[in-house]
Amino acid sequence: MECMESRIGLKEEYTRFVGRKLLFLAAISLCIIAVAGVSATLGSANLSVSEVYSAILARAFSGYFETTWFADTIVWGLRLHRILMGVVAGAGLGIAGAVMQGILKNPLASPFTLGISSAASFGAALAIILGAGFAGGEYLIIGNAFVFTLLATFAVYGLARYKGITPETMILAGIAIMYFFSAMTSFLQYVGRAEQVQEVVFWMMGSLGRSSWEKVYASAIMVLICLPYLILKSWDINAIGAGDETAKSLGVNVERIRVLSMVFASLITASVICFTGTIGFIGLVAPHMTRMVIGGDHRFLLPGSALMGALILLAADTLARTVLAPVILPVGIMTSFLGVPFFVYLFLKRRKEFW
Amino acid sequence: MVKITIQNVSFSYGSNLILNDLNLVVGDSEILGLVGPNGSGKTTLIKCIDRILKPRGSILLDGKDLTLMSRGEIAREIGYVPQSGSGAMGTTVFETILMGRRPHISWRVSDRDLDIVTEVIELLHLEDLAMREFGQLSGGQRQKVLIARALAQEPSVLLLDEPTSNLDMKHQLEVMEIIREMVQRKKISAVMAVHDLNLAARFVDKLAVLKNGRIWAAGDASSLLTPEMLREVYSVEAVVMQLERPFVIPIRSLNGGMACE
Repeated sequence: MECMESRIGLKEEYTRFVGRKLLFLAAISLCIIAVAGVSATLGSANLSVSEVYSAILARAFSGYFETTWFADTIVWGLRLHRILMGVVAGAGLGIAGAVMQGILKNPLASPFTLGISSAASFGAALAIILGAGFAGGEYLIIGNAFVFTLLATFAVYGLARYKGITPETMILAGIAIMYFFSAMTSFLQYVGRAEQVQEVVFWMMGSLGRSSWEKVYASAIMVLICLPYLILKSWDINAIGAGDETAKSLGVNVERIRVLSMVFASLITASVICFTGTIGFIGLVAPHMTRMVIGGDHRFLLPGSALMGALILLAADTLARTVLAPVILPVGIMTSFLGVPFFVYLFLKRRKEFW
Repeated sequence: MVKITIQNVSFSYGSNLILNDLNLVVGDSEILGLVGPNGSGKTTLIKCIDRILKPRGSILLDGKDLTLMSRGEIAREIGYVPQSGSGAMGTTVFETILMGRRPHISWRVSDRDLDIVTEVIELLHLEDLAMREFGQLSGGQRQKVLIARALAQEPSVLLLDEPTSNLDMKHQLEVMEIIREMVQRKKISAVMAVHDLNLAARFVDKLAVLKNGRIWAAGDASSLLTPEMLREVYSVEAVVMQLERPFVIPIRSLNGGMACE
């Protein structure tokens, strides 16, 4: 009888524990909606709050709300897709970071650990300075960044496979790829004209200013395609976190999960940074912040990191648009400014066991 | 009844032969202790039985060749307790043990999964630690949690790789008593690599002595733990007191230097 009560007590405690995680996810979602709601009203166009919300609601309930062409253009043509791009990009980078940290068992892993950022930058620099690339017209830079990101991923896979797919070989291969593409980008900058180099540097800072509805849809579709696989494999990523041998003994095909997760996380990253440029720290910091609150179970950590990433990027972009208005700072600078103090805090305060 | 049959099993890392043509059987509800000096192949054999490593030869579980079973099927039959384990970053004891249900669940945790986890927690008296972070536990507590995780798999065979290494005397006894009790209560078989010969003599049903990747001898502790075996396999001069169970007192290393257990 006592045993039964104790078991029921434990189950209830775990259920409450899970409930708290779900509550956190709900709270972050509400925060995103709130920040998005505020962000939509901020900008240099001097629209009032009621003008902004009338413009938003007029498209859905045209008979009930009235708006002007100017307000409609500012809200729908400039602000809303930028806000949604922030949500999608932040979510993508957050979940990619959580996956990378999980499969590589490394707290410093992020979407850029495997040389992805350097490869995307090189692709963009190639398009800007030499005009060479895989696509034409306005998609030249985007196409290059996307393709080179995937090339870097496959190069890491190829190099790591040669020695066996382990976290160590993947990280070392990633470092090699990162330095290779960094050197190539530096070379291009060396031979490029001043205005081209300036454009490359600006691209590498990351910005949501290049967003459009088409780009939001493209990123969102890619994130939504990749997300189910990663969420479904949460248990396997949990098991890998406990060690490769343990994961194998629990029935996980470790190499396959590691490679496929890396490919999906890279696809998500590529589909984001090809439109935004490299936005640092979201992929590193969002999973850590989430893990500190709801723990390391990837069933909750992955969606939590996505939501946290979305919230951080949205808040950073809102600050970037307003802090020196009418000057809009590249959001990559703002995320790094926000991310560095937090990273130092983690470094100083972290418990050894936590990592 | 035979639970595990190991037939002509060999394993190499490159050209380095680690296991050389091993043959062994493990009975139902039996604890087999693997003893032998460092590098004799105990850990490798355990990993081969769990198919973490893929050896030559065959290993049969209830007469079925493990190579014909999927990784998931093996995980539902064999639980593995590593020598020292880590939990995933930031997971609690409950979540670490729940991970043992991985071979049985796709994504959603059922009521039955929670029942099994809570039962195992209770059997191992881990209730007070259940919501603590795994990384904050002491070595002995961690070892108990890792055993609990393997038991949550509901295995018919438990593989343990030196489960008492790095533990103090109290925790060594506690862990061995838990293993003994679980084997009897759950009617499972266990294969365990052990360094401490006296613990092995006290808690296992059968011993297999490994030397240089070969089975030097297999049988009960009383017949195997002899000064001759210790001299030949361990290069140690020792006295073996024949009490209720043999008790080894090492005297000195035959290669020079002080003897140590």
